[in-house]
Amino acid sequence: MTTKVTTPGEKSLETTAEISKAIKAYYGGVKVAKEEGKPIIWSYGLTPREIFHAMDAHVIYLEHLPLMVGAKQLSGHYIQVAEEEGFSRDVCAFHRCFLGCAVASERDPYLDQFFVDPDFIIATNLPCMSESKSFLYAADHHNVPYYFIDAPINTWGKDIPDYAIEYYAGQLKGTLDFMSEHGLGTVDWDKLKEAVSLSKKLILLWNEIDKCRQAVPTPMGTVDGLTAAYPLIQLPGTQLGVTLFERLLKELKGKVERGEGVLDDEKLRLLWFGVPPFYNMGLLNYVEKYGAVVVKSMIEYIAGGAYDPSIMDPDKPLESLAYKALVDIVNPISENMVNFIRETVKDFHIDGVIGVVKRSCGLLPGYMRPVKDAVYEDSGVPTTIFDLDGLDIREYDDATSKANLDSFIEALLASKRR
Amino acid sequence: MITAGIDIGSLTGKAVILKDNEILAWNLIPTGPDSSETAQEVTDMTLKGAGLSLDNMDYIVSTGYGRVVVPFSDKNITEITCHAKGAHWFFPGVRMILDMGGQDCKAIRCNATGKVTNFAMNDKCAAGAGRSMEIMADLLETPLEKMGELSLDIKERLAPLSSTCVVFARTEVLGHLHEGAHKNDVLAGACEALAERVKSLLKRVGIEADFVISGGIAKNIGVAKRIEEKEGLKANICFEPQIVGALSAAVFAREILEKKGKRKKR
Ligand code: SF4
Repeated sequence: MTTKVTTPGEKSLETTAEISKAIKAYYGGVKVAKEEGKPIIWSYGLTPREIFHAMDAHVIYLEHLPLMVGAKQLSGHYIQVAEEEGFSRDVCAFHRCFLGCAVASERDPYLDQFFVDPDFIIATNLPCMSESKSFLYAADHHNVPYYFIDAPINTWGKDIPDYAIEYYAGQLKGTLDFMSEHGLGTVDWDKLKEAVSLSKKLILLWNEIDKCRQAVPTPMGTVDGLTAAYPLIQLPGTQLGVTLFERLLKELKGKVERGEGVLDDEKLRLLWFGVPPFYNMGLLNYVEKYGAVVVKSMIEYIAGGAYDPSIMDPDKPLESLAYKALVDIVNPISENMVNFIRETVKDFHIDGVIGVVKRSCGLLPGYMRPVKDAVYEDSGVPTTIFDLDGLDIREYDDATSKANLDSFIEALLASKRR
Repeated sequence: MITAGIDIGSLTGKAVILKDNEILAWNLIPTGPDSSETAQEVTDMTLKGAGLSLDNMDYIVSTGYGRVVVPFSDKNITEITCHAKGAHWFFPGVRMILDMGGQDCKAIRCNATGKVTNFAMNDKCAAGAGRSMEIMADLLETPLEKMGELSLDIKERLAPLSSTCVVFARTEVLGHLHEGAHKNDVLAGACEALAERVKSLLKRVGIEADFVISGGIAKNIGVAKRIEEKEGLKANICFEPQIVGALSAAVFAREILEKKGKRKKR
């Protein structure tokens, strides 16, 4: 008999179940659009989704495919397909996974439900440059046009200079023109303004949701949080995103009022830094046996969780979207990321940080050490750091991961008792 | 008050029986395919050595990778917490512990009371651990216990083995041998490589002068000496570094009992 070491995460909220359904419905809609002959875009990273929604474009977000197949423990298979195609193990596991999905001669029934071939591809260098190369390969493979949005690397922090905003707004304008050239009609500026306004609403709701999560005990951990962040990542600029967040906020407020937490007896609050194991989200529930909850994870903030909504001006839609993309936590200078985590640790009353290193990522592991030092210096909160690839199940070592978590939590509990 | 600590590691099972604060008996045996049987066996042997039975035990704590399958333990505690406590029991001034076990290697920082303040483990590859030394010893047809000593008697200094993967390191060793390298020089290269990897692990938690090495590799003088030289430190090593975890589990058992004030009925 073999023991299955991976388990899906256990969610506890009704709204996150609804959000899961919305994800499926979204991709179902893309599939129908393809069948109706409408053009399908493949995009990725921090390309502002608002421009797609404003043009009623049907988009497959390629970073999402690995997460979805990962949750079904299928990511290892598609990663292998990409390696068989000649991609090195050192290429980011996200890219290997979506390339495997893209080039596979046969797809499993789960992926087949929502996978459609692209009519054109819009790539960017956010969060990282390597993605644009993987996209080029996909564009060659499918023989479709490729467009690249160049985002300046943020070396300014939160105060982005006008020239950078203008440059990126110009890149977005070019994207709109490219989309028009490929059969998506001309942009409806009123619709785009409306999308920016809805996007602003969405982040205001998310900030309120975060406030609820800061309650002790927390009404929502990151196992729910990662699904709940879906509207933030893929539905900014839509009424559906706003409606889902309104419902989530209502549910959470009720829980806070009743004093209901993920755990009745919450002893420790943890923050996850790095990519969690999507094929084994049960690992995040594993710590609950110690009375610990992973309250928040850094990647919930990617693609829009960290910008100042007051700067978003619907009358300047492209400039607003430029600001939003350029201050994203995975773009700014290290100092911004570090300060952001510092604040999260304080606001969410975090007792310990779990930092996982995905070796095939060229970006996030570099933050580990400065984050660990800063958080300890600031709040005396310790961090454990260990290797864990959030997508490549073949790199996963259950015993070592759990040994790290067990020891870390034991030490945290002992220091709380002291 | 009589307590026992059982440490079921990936390669060896250890048991220690304490009477108050004094070691009555200890034992270590290779871990078999069934960890709970190993636990039973090593405990029986140790009890026999002390002239006691399980019924005489007031409290039992287990540790190690197999800690959860020890059927008669009253509580289990992770090996990181245990090694800090055990090293502190042997050497009360200790602030940094390097535990080099069969399948992994851990650097641990602790405070004046032996509580863990920071730790780092090697990644999942066995290259930083005892198993890699076993493989090298086997390949070079050298008894494991002689490996360290021989590695200090070298003819020519070879570059340390560069592969972090044990399988590739094996190929590297074969290459050296085919080129006519002396066995001791190759052994030195293996010990040097391990010491180098361990040094980075220690640096990750922050080097402290009061330092203990525990686990099976502490017995390998070739590795221990090289670690000492690299950092200019003198390592403390107790009479049997493999029982530090089990000893500490027994110490924890005693402390728990002191707090509870009631012995466990078996
Ligand atoms: S995981 Fe790292 S390398 Fe991969 S897409 Fe994200 S930032 Fe880029």
